[in-house]
Amino acid sequence: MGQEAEYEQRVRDFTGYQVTEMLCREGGAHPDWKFMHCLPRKKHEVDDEVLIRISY
Amino acid sequence: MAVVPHLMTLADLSVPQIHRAVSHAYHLKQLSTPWLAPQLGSGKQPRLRMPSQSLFNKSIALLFSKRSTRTRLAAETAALLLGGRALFLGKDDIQLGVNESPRDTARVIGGMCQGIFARVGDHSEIEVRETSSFLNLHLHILTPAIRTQELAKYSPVPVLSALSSLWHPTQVLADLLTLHEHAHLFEPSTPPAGPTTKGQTEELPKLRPLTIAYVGDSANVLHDMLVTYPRLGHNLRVATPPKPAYQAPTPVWDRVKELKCDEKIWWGADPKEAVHGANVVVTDTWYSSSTLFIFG
Repeated sequence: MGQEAEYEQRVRDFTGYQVTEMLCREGGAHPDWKFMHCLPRKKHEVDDEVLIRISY
Repeated sequence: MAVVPHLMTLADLSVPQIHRAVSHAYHLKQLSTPWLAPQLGSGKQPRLRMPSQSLFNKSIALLFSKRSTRTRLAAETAALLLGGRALFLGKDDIQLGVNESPRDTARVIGGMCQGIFARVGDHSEIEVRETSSFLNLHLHILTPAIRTQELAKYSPVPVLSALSSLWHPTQVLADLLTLHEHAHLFEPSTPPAGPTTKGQTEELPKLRPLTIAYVGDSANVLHDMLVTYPRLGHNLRVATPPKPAYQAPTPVWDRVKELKCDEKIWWGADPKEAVHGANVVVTDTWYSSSTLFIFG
């Protein structure tokens, strides 16, 4: 499989695996849940809303 | 000859060793921050205290065949503050893997440097599979896979992994430090640690047992989480897509079982189920483990 085809396959396989507020609300995460990522981050892994709520 | 300690994964360390590493990192971070980032201080001139010069006159080889921002910066500035020097050896700087074996390279470096911090590739099979042109294939054959483990096998000085395709011990040590630094966020009744008392550094804040969720691919950061967090009392909940390609590789799961970490791990395919009750949610790049972007 070429890189592009593999990328597209992965996009399909990881649909629904993006970390979002909605996922954590619906899944019943603790209301004050924190997010960690080793960076660099790509948007398909975690959406912008999650990063905006980061508390230092 | 004495056994040389290496660090390939946190599975190699005992719980007290992990705790000591994180506590020492917390201590060094307090001493180092006013030197490294004075602009982060309160405005008034902080009292500069010198970290112990434990690397005085020592050279640490940073063997990086993959790109890095954070790891390289952290390693180079840390070596300087500890009184030593980091020698950055990129893939175009030395002979490793071109016409010198890992054995020879490890011995030469070990004859002049006192430690090796290595981020070298070990996904050559994928490069072959992904590469069609004769030229690239030819170049690949001239570039045998160099594994951190191979370096460690022959090195007379400690080799620390700065990421491999299977493990990422320093990332999970850093994550543990972050969690301890923010321990008060998980204990609403406990105020954050106060200002540093004169001449002393604060003790590492205690961290209560947490539920930590990971959503994404079974990759190096998760693998070190699997062999570490359960031993420290944390529950781990993981969701990866159900295909075999996204499950933990056998060498990883063997270490998980050996350390009896599997008792505190829930693993499924549903991300919602994984984040249930989570205090912390972690993810990582999923376009990584079988691609050229692996070390992106």
